[in-house]
Amino acid sequence: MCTALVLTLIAVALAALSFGSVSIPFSHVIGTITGSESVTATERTIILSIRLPRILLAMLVGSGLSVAGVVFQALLRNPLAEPYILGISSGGTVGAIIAIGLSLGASAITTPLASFAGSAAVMFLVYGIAHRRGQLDTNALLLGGVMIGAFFNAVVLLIIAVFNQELRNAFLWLMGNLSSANPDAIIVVAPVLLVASLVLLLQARNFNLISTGDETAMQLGVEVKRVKRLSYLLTSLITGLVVSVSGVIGFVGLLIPHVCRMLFGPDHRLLLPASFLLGASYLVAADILSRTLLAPSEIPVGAITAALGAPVFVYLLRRS
Amino acid sequence: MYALAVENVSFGYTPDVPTLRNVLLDVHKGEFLGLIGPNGSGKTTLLRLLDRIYIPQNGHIRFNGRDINLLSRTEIAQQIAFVPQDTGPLFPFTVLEIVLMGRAPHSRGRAFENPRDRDIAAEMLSLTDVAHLAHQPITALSGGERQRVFIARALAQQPQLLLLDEPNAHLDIAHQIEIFDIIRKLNRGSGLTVISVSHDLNLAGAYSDRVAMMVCGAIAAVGTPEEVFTESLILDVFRTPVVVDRHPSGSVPRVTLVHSEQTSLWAGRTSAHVSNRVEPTS
Repeated sequence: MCTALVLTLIAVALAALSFGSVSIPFSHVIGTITGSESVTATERTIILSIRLPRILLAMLVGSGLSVAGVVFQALLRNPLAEPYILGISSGGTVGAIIAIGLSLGASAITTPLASFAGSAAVMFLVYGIAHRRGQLDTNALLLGGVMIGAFFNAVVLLIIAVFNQELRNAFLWLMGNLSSANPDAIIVVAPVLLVASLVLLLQARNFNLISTGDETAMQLGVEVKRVKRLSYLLTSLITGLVVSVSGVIGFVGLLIPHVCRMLFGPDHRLLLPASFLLGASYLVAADILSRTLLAPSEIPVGAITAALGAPVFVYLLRRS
Repeated sequence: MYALAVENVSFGYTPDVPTLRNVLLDVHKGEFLGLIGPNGSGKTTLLRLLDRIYIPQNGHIRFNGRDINLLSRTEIAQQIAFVPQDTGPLFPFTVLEIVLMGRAPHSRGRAFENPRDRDIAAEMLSLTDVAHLAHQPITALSGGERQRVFIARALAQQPQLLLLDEPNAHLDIAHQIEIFDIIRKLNRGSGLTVISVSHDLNLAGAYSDRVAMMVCGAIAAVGTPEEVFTESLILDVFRTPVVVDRHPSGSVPRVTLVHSEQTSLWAGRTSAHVSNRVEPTS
């Protein structure tokens, strides 16, 4: 199973190295990797300096959003929960934009940190809205998330209007975009995201139990509160990191876990690694479309994931 | 030594509304205790406290002599299992996966179940007559089938104390008897202590060593079924007239509901019927 997903990821990544506004034949892509002489210097530069960092970034974003989606769905027992729908991605955007607007520097460290703070704040806010009389109200959770998302998008527009010049590129954040990311960010984002995903994977058995009910999980020996606190913290961290490099990319955390659950079942010990790998492939593939459909201009990748993911949301909503 | 000692326990979900008031109850090791009482009398709440899902605001609960507040969640789950009333929507785990979850407290730190866990799960699946459903998603099962799966999961915990919250609610009569026979066998054979909430007084009477009757968050009466199932006490507690006589098999009291049209008939019964009743032992 994992082999198939890894092979898919490699195939998609090779395709992504080849396709683009300048198409590079597969033989040259392989040649670049193996160090063959027949590849021109321009092609080498395009592949190694432009496309490869972007593909790695796409993988991280896709994996992170999918893992966060799986965990939210397990903790909230709702297949509709994901970072975008819950407004957590928008919170991250506000955090990042405030950091940049206040000239804390768009550095590879402060922006992800501010973004994490924003995500975590919205996580608490949405949870607080939906938590009444000890019960988590699913409708309030989803509606609250969408409303907070809309509100924070408005805040972002306002901040952009005030700071105008410095933040022109921030518009790209609202639609989700991989083109403006700072390649240095990979060095910060990759290790943290991998460690956070690994820690969450170690909780997979607890997620199985919690996804059948908080009380049931307690009856079966899970320290539910502790597991939830840790998991909300890590998913906010992952979402914040992802948003700081890509902006708001919606529905990935909804579509990928759903597909993986259909393919591999609901056991989180399988579902988490599968979603991690398939999420990476999915976003790299979506990014190919974003770069090639209207080449040489780009469609924001968030528009593509929304176009593919929103129908799945409607389908899941009608079924639940 | 008592397996379980409930010492003056009080609890409320909100501070000013007590759900349990000064509950006092001892349960012997290996005992089968029926917990009965009207809706809202605090039966389920008491079970939740016994499994430390909630913590009493006053009083203590001791399990094998130790205050359960001093036990870790895992230690509790290794010794106490809980069969809840039907739970809400679930992800489509298979029946086998659900039953294997019962092994979780015994395999902390391991990512996957070992062969022994699988053997125990398989044993409990066939014991509760759901082995043929092992690879079905739990979401596709009927209420009664789900109930049996949850009982199998609880038994897979290999507990010393089994808490059942209306285990017969969704079961047909054949499976009611079958499940209670299995639990009774484990209770008699391996000394499993059982506390079972039930609205079926006859079932509770047939299987329980003792019954505890709850009213308004307190224990109104504890004793053998013969001692507790009296027409006057049941009328008092449930505000419903009943006739109590002997089960045709002779061993346990039988409680028969009397609906309103029958009440006048019942009131005018002959003394021959009355002599058939169980005399309350004082």
